[in-house]
Amino acid sequence: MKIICDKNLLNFAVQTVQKAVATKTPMPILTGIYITTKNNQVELEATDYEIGITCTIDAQIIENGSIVISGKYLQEMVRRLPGETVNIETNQEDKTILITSGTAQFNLLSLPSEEFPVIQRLKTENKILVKDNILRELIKKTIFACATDESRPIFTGGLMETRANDIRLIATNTHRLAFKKNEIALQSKKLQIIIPSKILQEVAKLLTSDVPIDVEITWTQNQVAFSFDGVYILSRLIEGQFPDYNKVIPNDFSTEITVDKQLFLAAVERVALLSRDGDYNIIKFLFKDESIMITSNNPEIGKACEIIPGNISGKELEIAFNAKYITDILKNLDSDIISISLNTSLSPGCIKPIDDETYIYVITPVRIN
Amino acid sequence: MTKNIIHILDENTANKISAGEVVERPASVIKELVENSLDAQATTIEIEIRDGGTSFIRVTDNGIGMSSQDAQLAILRHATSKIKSVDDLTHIQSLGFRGEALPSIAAVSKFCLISRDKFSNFAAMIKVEGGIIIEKEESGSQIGTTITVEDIFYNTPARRKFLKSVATESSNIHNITTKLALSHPEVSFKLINNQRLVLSTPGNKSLSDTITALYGHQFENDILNISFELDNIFISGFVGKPTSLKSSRAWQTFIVNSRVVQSRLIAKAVDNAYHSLLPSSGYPLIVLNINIPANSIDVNVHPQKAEVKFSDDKKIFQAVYHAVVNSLQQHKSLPAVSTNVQFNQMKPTTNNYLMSQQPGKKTFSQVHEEILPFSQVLVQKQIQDQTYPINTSGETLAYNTDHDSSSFSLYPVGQLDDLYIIALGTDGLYIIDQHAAHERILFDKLSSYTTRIPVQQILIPLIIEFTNDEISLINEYNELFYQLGLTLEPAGPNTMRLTEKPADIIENEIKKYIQDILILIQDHHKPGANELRLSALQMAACRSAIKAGETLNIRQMQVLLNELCATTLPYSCPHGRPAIIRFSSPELAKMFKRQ
Repeated sequence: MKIICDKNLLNFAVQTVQKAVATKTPMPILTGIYITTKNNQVELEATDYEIGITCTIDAQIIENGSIVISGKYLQEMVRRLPGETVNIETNQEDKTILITSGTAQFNLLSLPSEEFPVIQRLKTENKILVKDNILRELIKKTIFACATDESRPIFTGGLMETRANDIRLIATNTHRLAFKKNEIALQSKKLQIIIPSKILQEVAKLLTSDVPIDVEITWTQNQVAFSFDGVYILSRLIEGQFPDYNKVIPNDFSTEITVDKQLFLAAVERVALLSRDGDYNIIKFLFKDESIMITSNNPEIGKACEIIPGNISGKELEIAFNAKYITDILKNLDSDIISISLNTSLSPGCIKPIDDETYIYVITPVRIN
Repeated sequence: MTKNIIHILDENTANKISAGEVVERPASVIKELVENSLDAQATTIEIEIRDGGTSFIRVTDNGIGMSSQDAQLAILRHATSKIKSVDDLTHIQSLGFRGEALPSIAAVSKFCLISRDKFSNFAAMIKVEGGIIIEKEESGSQIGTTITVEDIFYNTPARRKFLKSVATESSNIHNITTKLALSHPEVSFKLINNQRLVLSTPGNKSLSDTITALYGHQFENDILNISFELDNIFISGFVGKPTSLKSSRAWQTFIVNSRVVQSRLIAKAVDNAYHSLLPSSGYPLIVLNINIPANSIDVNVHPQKAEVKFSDDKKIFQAVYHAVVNSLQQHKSLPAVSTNVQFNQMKPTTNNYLMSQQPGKKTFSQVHEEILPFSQVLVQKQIQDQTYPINTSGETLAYNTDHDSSSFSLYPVGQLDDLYIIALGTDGLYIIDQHAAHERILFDKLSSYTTRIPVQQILIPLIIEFTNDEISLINEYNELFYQLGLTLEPAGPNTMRLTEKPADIIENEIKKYIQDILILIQDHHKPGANELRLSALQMAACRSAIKAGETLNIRQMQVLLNELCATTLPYSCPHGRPAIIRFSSPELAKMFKRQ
């Protein structure tokens, strides 16, 4: 193989597939990046069997071929190359790879390219198109709510679903649930898959374009692929039945609060300082008259209390929440005024941007004996 | 024609058979005879045995003795001075009452009783062989009773075959005598085995002197006083520190109303009380005196009276549990730790050892004085508490700050194997296991939360499968589970729906947690929610503690040590492994042969 390509393009491609390079694996080949020639392009691939990413870039192909280079070294190296272009050439005699750019020259040992599990693109009719800014927003606004503990694997991923003309993503760790939907063009295929949160995070990171582009999502029974802009991301799906989230989202409320988001978030963060302890930082809220009293009490440290104004309709209510579950959502709400809807101190409540039904956050209270 | 085949056994045969219920082995003979002596208000009891009691047992006491006539009656079945009617059974004060011991023993041995009361000039001597009186005559003797039992089971070869080796029988006798002596510190006991005095107690009413006499001087500093009262249950005695553990329950003596008993209930309560300190492979030395109203126990459940039945198991359990816990927690002395134990194992019996312990003992009490308060840390803590007038709702630990403070502190000098912190104290070299130490700190911290468990609701209930037995237990203790923050409701055959869980327990561990609780419920005789939480906390503390292999800098070590010194029980991790080992200066001197 012998190719010449633009250094910045190559760097972009290497950084993109780098996310899928395995770091801890018994199979050395997976620590490498697979580079192969295709027409007038070069394709870079990496996979750890959980996720596979390929990135295609333009290049000048002088001689076809495939190589695998250690991902760790390639990444560090390409970033620092001095020249505008990079030459990559295999030396057939001693099985090494010669990389030259400007004044720099590297001679790398090659990993056996025939051992690399080349990523097979999904062959399926199941596909939809989503604009990347929509997908990115869906992911960013929900995926933080996923479970991190593996006891119920389906909750370590987000449920992606399409209805007639919207796409929605739902994530929950069973104590709180985030729901976000966006309108999209009418789709012929109905999508309903659970995607690992780690994959969604990577996808969101790679969706960086300034001008909205189309992302093609294809899926089979156990795999999903996102393809855009020369990048192809393939992942396994989480298999299982996601529970009916509609049952979880409450509809009727007896106490409705509207409050300034920044004010509320800042107060919660301050009061929660004293409750920070392990995984459960409990803070209490008292919604009464036109004010919200937020308190925390840590017998080891001390107490905190803050009263902020809020618009409260319905009966007064005292309720306790895990502070983290509150701040998580507040940080992801764009609107300046938010609405909090509650029933009793022992039933789940909702937090939403005001006058926006496309983003709903359900949170369960904490019972304190 | 019918032939009757049923007939009444003659008395001799009947006695031999029933003897088996009471007299199992030489040790049970000793127990019966000594209990008789105790009932006869003896103040000294001398026991002499040969060949593990198989060939010769003699028990001599200075009790009230018997008249010649009584002595003859005494060896008849169901002859007793201790009760008159069945009503007396409900408030038995004496150890014996069945009137079975003497005839049973006499039926299976060559038996000789010599007894004189203060009204008689001569003692009565009665010799019985195999249950048949072969000689009665007058003889000279002190006031009191002497009973000689020779060739036990000579006429019941089947039973004789089941005797263990001489050494085993000797040690059984030694054990039972030890326990009897502990149950009556006011009586001076002597045990002579093959003409060697192997055991002797002062009989000066002091239980601690008796323990020292029986178990050796090294325990003098290793036992903690127990004194506790709950609803007419009075518990006193001593419990060994967690650092002086034994490998079997042989070192545990339970005495209920002056009667030595075996009780799994009490043993379990002791284990549970120790559960935050005790390695699973050891048992604490303990002598527990439980006094309860005579009408709330039944001692007549077992011919040997080795077991008693309590009318209220649960209350006894709670009382024992709290008695031991209180005693362990009140006493926060720092360990003159395991080095003792090691030496103990190396040279268990030499007198040298006992002698050389004397200087060590002094150091210990010095340490003891210096260390008790952990004062600086705590004083600071108190000041803090005052500056922030926070309602801690009674959760602050009851620190004892009365003691004058020469503060206890450890200064780290380095870390070994990324695991052990080497530290200097004012009185020697300390080695601290960083994982165990951190575990202890976390455990103490977490424990203080047990009274306020935040409970997180679950949006999508967790469906958990259980066995039928588990489900019925869960239903029975639903209220308890609710208090623990676990709301479980039936969801189908063998499944329960979990809608709430304690906020600090991750879902992955919930099922294990519930099952642990179920096991505890079965073991614990209706435990409180807090007890259950503690055992769960052990798990949690262990999980999040710094592990072996983490490199710490001096400052981190100092923080760890300061916190450790402030814990209630710094010398062991919640599982009972030691957290601190101390080498006192005298000990070091000894190791370097400077002494």
